[in-house]
Amino acid sequence: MPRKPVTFTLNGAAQAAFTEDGQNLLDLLRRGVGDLTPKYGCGQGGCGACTVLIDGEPHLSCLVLAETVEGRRIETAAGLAGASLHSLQEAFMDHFAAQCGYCTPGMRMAAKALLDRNPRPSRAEVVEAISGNLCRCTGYEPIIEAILSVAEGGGRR
Amino acid sequence: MSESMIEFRKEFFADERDDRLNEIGRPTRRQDILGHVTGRSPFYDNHLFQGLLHMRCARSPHHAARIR
Repeated sequence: MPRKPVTFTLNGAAQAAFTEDGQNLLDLLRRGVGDLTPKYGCGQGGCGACTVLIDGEPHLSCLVLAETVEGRRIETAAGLAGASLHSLQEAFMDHFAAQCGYCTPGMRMAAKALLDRNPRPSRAEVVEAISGNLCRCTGYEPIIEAILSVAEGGGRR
Repeated sequence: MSESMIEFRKEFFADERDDRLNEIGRPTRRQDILGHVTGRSPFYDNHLFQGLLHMRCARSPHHAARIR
């Protein structure tokens, strides 16, 4: 099978990898690069567990052809915490916004994209931002509360 | 956990709360949540080992078909 070299920025560090023919970005990140923070949920773009940021925009990495990310900037949940936890991570911990934890990395990337774009989202905008991410245990209410608590001034209700 | 969150959640435990206790009746953080929010919690798909077999289902296009 033909393999193609691809170079991109992963969480601020230069990354080079080989892509298989037709390989999706999620598989490249998990198997090729070894970043296991994006989760493999449905593989069909339905659940949002694999959400990563490409040039700051949330994308479903299971639907992105790996070779199309050449030269682009990719952020995953692995890059969120530096020396200390990201405020979103603290908020998710405080608000019981994770139970099994499978949807959490995707939820957080979707939330980060929203807050980077709009630091003071309304409740409706938060709901809209995570509408592509399914959670089957915690329920969405604690997650929405967590994101709103990070928004400046607690967010506009 | 912030004080406001504790106050907010106290009403859930109103009937069993005792301010002299340290843990009972108080909200507490899940022990596994750090792994969840950092994405490091291991799930089944994290496992990949030598000799891992893959399977694929081939379903019969007919009822009660005979395998030959």
